[in-house]
Amino acid sequence: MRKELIVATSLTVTIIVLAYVITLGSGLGPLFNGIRPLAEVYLRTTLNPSQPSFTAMSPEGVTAIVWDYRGLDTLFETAVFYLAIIGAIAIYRGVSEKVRLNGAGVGLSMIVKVVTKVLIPINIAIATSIALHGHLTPGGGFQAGAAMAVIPMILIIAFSRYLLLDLKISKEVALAFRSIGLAGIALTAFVPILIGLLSGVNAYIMQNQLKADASFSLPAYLGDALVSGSLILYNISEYLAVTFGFSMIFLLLSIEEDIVKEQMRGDGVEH
Amino acid sequence: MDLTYLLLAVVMVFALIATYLAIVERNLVRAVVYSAVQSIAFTLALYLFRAPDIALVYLPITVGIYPAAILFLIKKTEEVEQP
Amino acid sequence: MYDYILITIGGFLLVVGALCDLIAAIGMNRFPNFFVRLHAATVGTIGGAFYPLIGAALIAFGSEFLGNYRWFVGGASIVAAFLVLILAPAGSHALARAAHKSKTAIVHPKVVDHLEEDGGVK
Repeated sequence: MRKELIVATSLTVTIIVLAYVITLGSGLGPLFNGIRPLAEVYLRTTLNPSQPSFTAMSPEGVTAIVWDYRGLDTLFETAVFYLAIIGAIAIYRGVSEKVRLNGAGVGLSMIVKVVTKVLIPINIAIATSIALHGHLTPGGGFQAGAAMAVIPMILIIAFSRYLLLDLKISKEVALAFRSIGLAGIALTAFVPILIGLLSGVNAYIMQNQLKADASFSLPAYLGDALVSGSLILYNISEYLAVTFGFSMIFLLLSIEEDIVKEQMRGDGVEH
Repeated sequence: MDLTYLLLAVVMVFALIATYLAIVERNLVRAVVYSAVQSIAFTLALYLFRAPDIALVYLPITVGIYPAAILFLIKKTEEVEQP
Repeated sequence: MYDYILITIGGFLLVVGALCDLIAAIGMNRFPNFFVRLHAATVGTIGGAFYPLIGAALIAFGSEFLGNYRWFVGGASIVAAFLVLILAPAGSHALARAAHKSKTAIVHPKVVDHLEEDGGVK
């Protein structure tokens, strides 16, 4: 205990001294407070209608970089995440998730259930607003999906996983919605090239606004609202995919393994 | 500006203490809680760094989803780490 | 005039919140078992977070120099206060119930335990 105390105290003192030297003492030279040249390029082009071949028509620089300027990177990141989910499905193959003992799934007390019911509409509203405002304010598809994925988790904890099954959100339904989201991402990436092929203009995969040698561009405004072309479509698709991907993970993790194993070894349970 | 950095230092000290406790703790459930405390401190730090996008994704993942997944795994294995 | 009243009430609520936090800290140190310490912690979370958030909202409403932003600040404070008001009791209730049900926390200096008298948690 004494040794741990010494370690913790010395580390704390080191951090405080370092912070003091860096910030107030300015012992390590002045801090860099300007804007770097690369950042300046992005800041000048994210929402700039006077440069139509460079802009992403989105006031939120991070979303513009993530889904427009560096869209392919994000596509592969997304692919890594969904490969992990496919691994989880492969591990749980053949496990019947609908085995249910009598009296299972009581959940927590009435108070917690009521509070959960009050919270869920708030959570859905916040997550949807993060997704739909992803091209205007900080946020985006993955953030919204992560916020939304908390709902199945608190439903599993406060009620039980059988509530989700009663609400018809089984593994297969979640898989279907996740696939719809992924298909939305792929479709948004290929829409410019399809339209380009049909109408004979030059277009690129994952193109958002028009480029120097490709005059095709997705609509930046829907009525009076700024939708930033492909960014809102990517955000909504990613929102669907992440939400139901995480839901599926929780549905699989919350399977009561010992009961299911017993049922599977026992007589005649289809699996 | 200096106040921001000072707050950042305090937050990071909290994160450091929580990390240390999470490493030395033998009860894995408590270690997960310490890890969540460290994540809250990191979220504040990210917000102070003016990266609200990362803070928005960091908070639900590291306080909600990641501890839940780890707790499910701990329930399926053993709660106390053997020396 | 209204600003002055709003800011005074808000400041008073901030002081009440600070007092609640102090009482909660004393209780956390001095109470004998888990359940009464949980009660002290709940005094800290509800009294020490709900009242100051309402106070901050009133102060924001009374600050003319913030312009229209005072409605954002105050509204966010009130929403956060509402969430704390419903979440903290539910959380501590679930915690206490789980601790009682799993018998991890012993009710040692016991005056009355209605949950046990009713034949355990249903």
